[in-house]
Amino acid sequence: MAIIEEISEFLQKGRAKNVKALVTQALEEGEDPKAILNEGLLSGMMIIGEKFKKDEVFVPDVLIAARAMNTGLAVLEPRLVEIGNEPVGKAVIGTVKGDLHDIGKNLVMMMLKGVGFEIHDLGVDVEPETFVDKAEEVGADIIGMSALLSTTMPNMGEVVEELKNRGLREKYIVMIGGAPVTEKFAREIGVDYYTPDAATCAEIAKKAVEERK
Amino acid sequence: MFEPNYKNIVNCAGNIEAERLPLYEHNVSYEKIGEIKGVDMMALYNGDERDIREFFRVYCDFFKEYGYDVVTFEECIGGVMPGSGALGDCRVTPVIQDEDDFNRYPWDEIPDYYFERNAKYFRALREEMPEGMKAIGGVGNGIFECVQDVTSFQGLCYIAADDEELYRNLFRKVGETNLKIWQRFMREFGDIYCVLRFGDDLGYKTSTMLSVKDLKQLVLPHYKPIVDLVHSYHKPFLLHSCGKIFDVMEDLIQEVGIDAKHSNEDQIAPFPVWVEKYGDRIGNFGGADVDMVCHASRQELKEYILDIIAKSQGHGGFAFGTGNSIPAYVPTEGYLNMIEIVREYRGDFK
Repeated sequence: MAIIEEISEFLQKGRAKNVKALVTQALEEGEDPKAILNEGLLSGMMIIGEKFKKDEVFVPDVLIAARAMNTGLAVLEPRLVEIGNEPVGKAVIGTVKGDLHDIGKNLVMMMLKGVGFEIHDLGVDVEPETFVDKAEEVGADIIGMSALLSTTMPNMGEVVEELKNRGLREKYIVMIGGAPVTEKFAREIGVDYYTPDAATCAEIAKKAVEERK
Repeated sequence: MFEPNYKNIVNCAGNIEAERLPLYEHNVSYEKIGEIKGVDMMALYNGDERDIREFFRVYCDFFKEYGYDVVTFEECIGGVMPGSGALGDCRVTPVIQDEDDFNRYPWDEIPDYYFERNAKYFRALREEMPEGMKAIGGVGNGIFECVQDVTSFQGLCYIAADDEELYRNLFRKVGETNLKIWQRFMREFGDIYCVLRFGDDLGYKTSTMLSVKDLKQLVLPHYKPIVDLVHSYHKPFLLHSCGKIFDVMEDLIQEVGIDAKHSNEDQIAPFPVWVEKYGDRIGNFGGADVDMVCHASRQELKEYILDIIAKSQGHGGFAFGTGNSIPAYVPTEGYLNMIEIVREYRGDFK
């Protein structure tokens, strides 16, 4: 089995140590860092994402695959920087003000990373201004918001209002998700996309950024 | 005039449709009850023995005044587990991350911690229980929640990948610990309760939190001794579990032997779907999606509730309330509207 394919296989099994060792070996053997990234790490993560969407794997499988991906990325990133590899896009992600839940947000982050996004994690209980400040600071393409509670969900609308107040609404692709969030609510507050799960989020985010570019 | 009768809820849990549709909540926050009754409930709850008696006087009176047949009350295990908190707050560093943490953990002390902290509350609840009412609830937190409270969900997933034995041992140890607490609880306080319950959220919007296989092999087997214990006292067991858990429902009914199940969210499946699927075998508790209670107008809520009730009749026992609970953030108006609509429907005000 080609080493890059092996990286993908071990990543899907969540075997972080093997992924780290194989990425190191692949670099030593002169494999193209972009191929290791796209055909090894990201390909493995995309397969897991697809399986997750089809209910063939569960949240723990995604989390451990993502940990394996991050382990491999840590080895690969210095080489990617050297050759000037550009991410698919940049996303600023957080759980909205008043909400301390992070499992859904973390899954989305991992899936986005898995399709090649550069991620800026704002954590939980994030003020509306912070979403916008960070997006401006890093030159983000996407602002992603998560909420688990019915009553913190409206704070997603505050971020949209903050963007409007600063004349920045059209500059960003705004995406939302979380247990109580619906398509109807997304339309009401005027965001670009609601997605029901992390894998769909990554798929739509990538497409949306590519369409804009 | 409304006269509470806890047997209505017992019938529902036994899957017999009650003569008067009972109201039910998994929890109503102390802050919300305090707001409605004009009392600082948290101060009383955290006060001395006399304050705690007063807390339960007001607490029980609330449920009676608002048309409930039972007083919902539980004390959670998670709160007495040293270093816990990772279940509800992702900023908490998990106290168990590896085998050494697990071996050092004071598992044997937890039952004592539980009763040292909580016995005074159960005693006061017994003293203040109104005529015709009993409690529903008991020892809060199921096996999966207690494990996550010391490992965090993400930490647990990493343990599953890195140390399979520790992963299994966590569920085993929590199962044994929780059973010890339940054994003593039933001996000392079982008489206060007509239906026993714990909550263990096994799912989320689109699936189960762990794989179905892991839930069936590692979590559910530790439910069974607790459910059997409750049954040995000739009382029914109600499971509260959020999320899309259809894939383990058969095992919960057939293998574990739950008598009734609570929790529903419309985005997963409206309450009548649960009733339709399982109403011939277990009692169903729940009904209104919390989001509707938070945001719908009174008229919208009325149409929504009456529709659920109409669709849920004729399928065995069911008790009505929200599909989850009434935390402080639920608008009081929406909550009281829901209660009033159900009470109007059942003719309490005629």
